Amino acid sequence: MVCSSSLVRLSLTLLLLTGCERKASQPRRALVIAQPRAVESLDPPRNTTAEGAQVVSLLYEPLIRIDGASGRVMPGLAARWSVAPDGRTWTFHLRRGVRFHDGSPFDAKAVVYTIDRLRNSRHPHYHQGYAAWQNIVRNITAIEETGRFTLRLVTKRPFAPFLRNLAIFPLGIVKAQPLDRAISKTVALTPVGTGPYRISSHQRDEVILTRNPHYWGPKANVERLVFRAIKERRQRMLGLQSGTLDVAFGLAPADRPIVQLHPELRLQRGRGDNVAYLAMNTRRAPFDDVRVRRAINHAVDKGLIVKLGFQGLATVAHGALPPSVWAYTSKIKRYSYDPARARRLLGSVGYDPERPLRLYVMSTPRPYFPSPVLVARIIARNLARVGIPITLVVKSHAEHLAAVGRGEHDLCLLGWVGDNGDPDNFLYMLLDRDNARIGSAQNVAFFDHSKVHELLIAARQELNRAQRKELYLRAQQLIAEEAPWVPLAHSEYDVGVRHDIRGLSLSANGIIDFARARF
Amino acid sequence: MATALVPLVIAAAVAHEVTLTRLELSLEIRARKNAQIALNLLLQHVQRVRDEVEAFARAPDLIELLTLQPSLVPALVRERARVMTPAVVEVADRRGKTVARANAPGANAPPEKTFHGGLALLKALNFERYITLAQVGKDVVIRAAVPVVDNEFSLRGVVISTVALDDDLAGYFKGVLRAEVAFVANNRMVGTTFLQRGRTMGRAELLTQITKALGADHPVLSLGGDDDGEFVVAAIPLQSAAGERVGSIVVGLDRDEFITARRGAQRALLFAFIVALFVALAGATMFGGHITVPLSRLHRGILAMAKGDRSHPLDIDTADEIGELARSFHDMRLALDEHERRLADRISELSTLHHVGRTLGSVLELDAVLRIVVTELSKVLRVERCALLTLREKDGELLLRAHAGLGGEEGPPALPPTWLALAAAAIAEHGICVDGRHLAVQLETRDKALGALVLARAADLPEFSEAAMHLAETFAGQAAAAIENAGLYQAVRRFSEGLEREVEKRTAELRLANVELERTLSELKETQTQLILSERLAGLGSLVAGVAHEVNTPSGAIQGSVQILPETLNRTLVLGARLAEQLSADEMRRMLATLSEARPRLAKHGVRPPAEVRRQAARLQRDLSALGIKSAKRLAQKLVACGAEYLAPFVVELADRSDPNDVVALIENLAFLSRGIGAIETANKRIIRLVKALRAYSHADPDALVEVEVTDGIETTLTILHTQLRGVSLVRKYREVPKILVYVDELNQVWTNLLHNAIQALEGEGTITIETFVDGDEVGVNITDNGPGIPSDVLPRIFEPHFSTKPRGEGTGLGLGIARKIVEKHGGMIAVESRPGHTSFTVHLTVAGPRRDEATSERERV
Repeated sequence: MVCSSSLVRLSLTLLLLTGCERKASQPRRALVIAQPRAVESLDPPRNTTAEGAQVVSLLYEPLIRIDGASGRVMPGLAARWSVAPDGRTWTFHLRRGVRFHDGSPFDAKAVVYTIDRLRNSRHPHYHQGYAAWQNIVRNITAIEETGRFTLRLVTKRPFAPFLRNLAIFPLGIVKAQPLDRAISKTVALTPVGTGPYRISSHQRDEVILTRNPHYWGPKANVERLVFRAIKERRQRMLGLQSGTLDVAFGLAPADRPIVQLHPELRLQRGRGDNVAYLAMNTRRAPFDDVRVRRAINHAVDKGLIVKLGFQGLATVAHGALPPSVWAYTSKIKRYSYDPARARRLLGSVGYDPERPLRLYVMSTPRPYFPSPVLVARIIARNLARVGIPITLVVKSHAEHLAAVGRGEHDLCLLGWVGDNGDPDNFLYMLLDRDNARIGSAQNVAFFDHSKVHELLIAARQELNRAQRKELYLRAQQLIAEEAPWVPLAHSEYDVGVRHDIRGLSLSANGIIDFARARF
Repeated sequence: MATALVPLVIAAAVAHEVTLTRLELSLEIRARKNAQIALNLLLQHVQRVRDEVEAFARAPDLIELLTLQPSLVPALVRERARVMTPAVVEVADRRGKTVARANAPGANAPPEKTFHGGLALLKALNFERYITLAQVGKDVVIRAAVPVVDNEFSLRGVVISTVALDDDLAGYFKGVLRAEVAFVANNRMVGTTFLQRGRTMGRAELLTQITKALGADHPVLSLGGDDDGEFVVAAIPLQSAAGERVGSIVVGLDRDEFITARRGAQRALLFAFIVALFVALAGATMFGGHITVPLSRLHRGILAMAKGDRSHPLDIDTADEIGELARSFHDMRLALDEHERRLADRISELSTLHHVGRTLGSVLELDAVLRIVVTELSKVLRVERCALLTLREKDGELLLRAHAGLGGEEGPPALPPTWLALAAAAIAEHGICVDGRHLAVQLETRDKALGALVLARAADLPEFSEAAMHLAETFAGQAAAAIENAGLYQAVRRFSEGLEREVEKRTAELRLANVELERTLSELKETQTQLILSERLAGLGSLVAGVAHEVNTPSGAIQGSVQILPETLNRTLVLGARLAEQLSADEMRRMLATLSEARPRLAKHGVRPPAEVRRQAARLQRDLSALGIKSAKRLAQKLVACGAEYLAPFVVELADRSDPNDVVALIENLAFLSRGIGAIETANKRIIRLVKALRAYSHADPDALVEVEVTDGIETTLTILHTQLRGVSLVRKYREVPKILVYVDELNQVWTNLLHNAIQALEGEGTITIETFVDGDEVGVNITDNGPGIPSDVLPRIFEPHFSTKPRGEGTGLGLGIARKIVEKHGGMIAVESRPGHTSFTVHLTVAGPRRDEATSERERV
């Protein structure tokens, strides 16, 4: 009797143990990721939001990749490349043995197709949604297949940021479709890619990706990725807390401390290649006078703005380039917060406001501006203190962009998230006269300085990194002297993540490479 | 016997073990789950603390007192702390020096020294909102620190709230989780409910036990003692904002469930039940009185409060749970008062909006509407002054339409120029403009600026928040809608007046046009009728010709017969008389009987081929010659010619007494007569049939629907078209089909048309196949010819009205267009397919016949 009882106990224990073990060792195979809005499209260049970029970059790969940690240019679908001495002719040797998700081989034809349909508005498979990205391929004058795995691209002029432009997600390579017949809607909406994940299902508010078992590179660790659009930030937070979500983008500042206090969650932080700034409209009085612009730079309390308007999750900016960009320099003129000096400067100009100046601000929070109206109010208060009355003009983000693009403002708040970590992407886009055309200006200070222009153009065409850096250093110094902006802050990103998920890193444009995620 | 029981015993033991192990495991899982919930509960609590502190830090009176009269801050803090989560609330000035501290009711003040400085204070002094879980001294606390910032964005001080994770909070958690809870600092028990049952164990001892239990395979905590409390425990770590571990939450689920199950397996269930029942009864009797009195007081208090009497005293001051309950109840009452006040504010705001919305909806008088907008908006946003300006359309000047707080009882008040400027700016910007104390928002509908609302806040009030901007925008939207509605109303009235006149004019025009139209229509109808009539007449003419020919043939036959009959009759009579002389009366009778019998056969005799006649005559001649008959050859030839060779024996029989030539002549004449009569009969029958067919073809009552066999009409038509069918072979494939309800004469026109066309197509040579069949509840007729077919360029047009490839008047056709109309009127359809050698018309007709209304209307039209 004793014997049988202990036997029973033993067998039971074994049974339960194996049961438990199975349960414990069963791998988690899916990550559920919440984003604040739905993915626009699975066709890469039809996306303009971070949400779309995040999903698309797992499905399609560009020729070039920017390393998330170092920010350096790495081989993508192009294994190597070279540029001819003229600086305009680029030869790309493609990676061999890569297959598209449908099993067909990847070759130069797909690259030609991808770039052609984006740059040529008359291409039979062009879509009007591509317009936003045409500028990254505009300077390509010729593209030709020189072999099955080689191709040649020619640019109008030597163009240093060329390689980095090829790394932007809209240039993820898609499988070529026959041009002679109309592309089917399904194919147009979800082209075939080569990435570490492929599409499993796509609904309006949910995209499910599964691991590509034939991926050419190191295969992804996680079997499935579920991207869910959850608009309500409280719902995202609740999902994270209760364990139904593994990753949540777009946390509210108020939710961050809760994530920090939760032992099973953590904040995944990443530096952002971005800048938030106050632009002065240099075409108008009083900002056509550099002394007034300098006075404004002394009048704005950036430290307070970073504390109150960013809750400390940012660093004070002194120039347009974030420190993570290689051409960043600290050797430029810095303007300390000094209202007395600002007043003296304004007094020396004899500036006498006849009307309040208009400060334009968006009501919608942006990645680089968590609370824009608050920042605007602080600035208005700062300027009032040095004798400049301010009227705030608050508009939705879309309207704000349109109005400042037309140059209606005296002052405006705006920011920029770098696409590819190239200094040209900041300095040329935001401060060159080429981009100060009324109506579509990115340079909303309408800063027009011929020496700066010369330097920026030269830097674009200079392929030697050291010499480029020198050119950018001089441009940045000049810009700081001329003070068309009050650079405000470079903010950080953070994402709420379950603590047992590893291998995540936020790249500078806020995208996570989930192919490297593991438990 | 005993060995037989072993398997049973083992089975029972297994079942027992399985049940208990499962139960134990599920308890462990539940405990872990509860620990998770406890964590989320704690984080919720953290958020609540933070929200309360932030609300306090934004309070205008705090900002003001901190700036102007720091000495009054403590009173404010004490007042505020009463309605906050049990906490120690501190306010420090901008240098970090504490100016006030108060305990919220129920908050146990941790030792004073723990409340100075600290990371939270430093962070808040640096404008950062900070919240953490922290170990402070011996305690674990929730600590929230928020900077107090004035309108100038200057720091005025800091509010810090500290909530200890103590026995009270554990009690609150226990209430939600229904499980025992303990907060454990790194090596100290800071708050627990485990010891509330009057157990004698110390906190340190409890912590040791818990730590031990958590380290074991099965985390079971035993408190020892008489009531042998046993708990399955689970823990979840707590960390600070910086990620340092500050302690843990332990949750314990009573193992009673488990223990009871074990007992149940050991003792009789019933016995346990009885004991439990007995204990319960005894307990109730013993403790009843002790509990009832304070309980009934509490009950009265709750009732009074339910009725709205908040001031009802609750003088229960016992040290037990009921006393505790009463005190919590009191606190709850205070908190309720505060919440109610806030709710009332919110409700008044909402009801104002609602009121404004409703008034705007119902009032059409614009100025009244706008007055309401400015008055209500200034009330809700507590602004000093408010003005509503509208744009004059012709010159874009801004006019004051409504205002609040601007004075000007006698006549319109003057507006400060800054107001006008800001309003103009808001309109130009399509948005909100904020300028120090003023806020302007434009009134706009569908991208058209109508004016602006301008608000001015009192200098001592906080700046316009984003919520205030939003509210102002909402009001502006309402006002703009009202202005637009009023404008629309005017426009609609003007428009509708104009519309009425226009409608009258147009109606008259329409009436005239209508008369004209009616006349044209009737003319058209008349023309159509004429056309159809003439078509019909043409067809009829052709028909009559055919019929006349048809009648001619038989009447010709009759005529022929009638002409020769008298002479033949005469000759027969002469021969008869001659034979009567030669033969006896008996022989004569026999002869007449034989001939009379032979007559029908002779009448039917047709013409035989001459060779056959010669061969038979020769044989008969031999027979006759052998019998000694003279002129046997001629007699034989005559007999064979009229088919009377079988009467030869009769001729031979009479040959002795009479001339055989006479007998044969008589037979010959008789045969001729019989044939003539037969021919007349046949011709006559044919004429009768024709007359019948004609009568059937043109039915007596054209408006009557008659139930017929579809083949009747086809056969009638075929009869009429008989002469034209020469050389055409007809194949009839009639299947059994139900009778159908039709207008007979009209449908016959269809058959005539189709058959006539087929005949014409064949040009005297070919086959027409007529097939009937059933198709669902329809009867189908298919008329196919193997003629050359209809050319493909003509085929699509053949059903067009009045389309014809034939010269007018030829044939019987009323046109296939009419044929189709007739078929469609019968609720059917007609289809054609044609290729060389095969042209096939298929007519489908419903068994039920035409729908009544359709039939009538068609009839009226045709």
